[in-house]
Amino acid sequence: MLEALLANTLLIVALKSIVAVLIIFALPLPFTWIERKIAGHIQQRPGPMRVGFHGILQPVADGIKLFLKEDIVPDKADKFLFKLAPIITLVPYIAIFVAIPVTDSIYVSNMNIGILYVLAIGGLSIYGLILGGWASNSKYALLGGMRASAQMISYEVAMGFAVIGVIMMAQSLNMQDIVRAQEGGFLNWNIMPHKQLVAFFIFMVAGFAEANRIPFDLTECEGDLGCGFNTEYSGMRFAIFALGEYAAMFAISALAVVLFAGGWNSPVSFLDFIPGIVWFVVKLLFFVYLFMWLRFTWPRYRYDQLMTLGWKILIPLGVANVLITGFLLLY
Amino acid sequence: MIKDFLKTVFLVDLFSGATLTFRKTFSKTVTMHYPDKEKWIPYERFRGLHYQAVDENNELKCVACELCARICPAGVITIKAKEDDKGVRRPALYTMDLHRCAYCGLCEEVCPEDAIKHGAGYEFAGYERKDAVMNLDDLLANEPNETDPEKMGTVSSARLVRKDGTLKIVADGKKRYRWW
Repeated sequence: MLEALLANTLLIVALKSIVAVLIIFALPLPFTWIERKIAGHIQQRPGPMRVGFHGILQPVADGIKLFLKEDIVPDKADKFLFKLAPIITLVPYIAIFVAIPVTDSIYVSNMNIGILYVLAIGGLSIYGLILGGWASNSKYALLGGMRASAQMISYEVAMGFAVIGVIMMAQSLNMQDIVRAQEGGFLNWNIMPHKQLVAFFIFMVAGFAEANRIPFDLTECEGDLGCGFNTEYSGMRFAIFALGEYAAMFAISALAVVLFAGGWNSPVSFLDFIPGIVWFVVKLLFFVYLFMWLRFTWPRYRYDQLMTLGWKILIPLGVANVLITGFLLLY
Repeated sequence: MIKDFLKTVFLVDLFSGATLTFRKTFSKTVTMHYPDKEKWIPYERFRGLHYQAVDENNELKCVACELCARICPAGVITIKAKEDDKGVRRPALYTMDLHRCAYCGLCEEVCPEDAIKHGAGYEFAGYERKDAVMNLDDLLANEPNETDPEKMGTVSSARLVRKDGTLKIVADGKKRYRWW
């Protein structure tokens, strides 16, 4: 009896994981198109127009192109690490989605240390960038990888401090409890100024840096590094790096929704009849749009500015936020 | 001083940039949909692909005086003359190797009969080198179909026509606008 039950739950978890992975693999298809459309319209041009209706099949064409490209492994590269690196970049961000509750019933796993797991796993993906840069045996790739490691060290700390504020508000590490602590209208969301607005700001800045998006995409800074850590990558391996970047963007957006924007809760009580999954997806799309919108608005930070922002502004701000939150919670 | 500090702290510049791009997202695009839907018709004095003009009897104006071949700084034009059945001097062979042409307009300027002229064509791309070498028939076919000066220098609606492995962008002039 017990064994049958265990096998059953294992099967369910496996099925849920497979569905989650499939969704994450499929998401870049529509979203590369959407990103290019947003990029185009911000610059007053229409974006992709020629493949299918308004270019909607462009990602498919790009995918076929990348799939058919020659797979080049540099002669002097460390072949094993070179092939391993894209996978290391992608897998942790998929693993993050295990802990993210879409609604109180749709989730893969409800861990009581969910947020800790997310931070721990999310930090692993940087090894992909470092190893990819190192194994390529190219100076540009190496510099990109070094920048990635320095950037990650600076910003993971700030992100941790931002999350501590949220944990203090919810008195729990469980993601579902964190969402439940924000129930009852948008005034209870952590994004509000009387809650954790500063933490939200730190989280988003650190998230942009973690996802290697503009204005913090110094790891692949085309201007001075060729293409950064993925200079030597081509074909499908490059596509997997790009997929990892998208997965990172979605992971950070989903975390922002869960931690700061009330997860599946509706903003006002008379809209409660709309199911939680709709609210989650709407909020997720908003944050993804934010990523894309700001990418085509802001210039890239210089390397010393990046470090200054991380160490001299975000981390002290994060400590102060934790301190003030603690005071307000106690008194 | 304090104002600048507050501006830096609250990221005023970054947010004003973001509002600008957000506004621009919903503005009209300025792209000319060139090969698919639209095509630009050049101005009257545009020096495009050459053509051979014909007179009102649909006869060649060229008398094969070879002045254009002489003045051409790049040696583009090759002419051989003949006498036709009416006893008029006409070109037996008139080729232009447009690889070498600089579109300087000297041939048009020197022509005493106003026979060789610059037209409106600007689609020089071809699949082979010989596509850019024009003989008399090609030059006759190059004559622009738009001659109204009012309508030149506008963007016209157009179609992309695929025929016999070649592409042609045909402007139909149903809709026009000035691109600026």
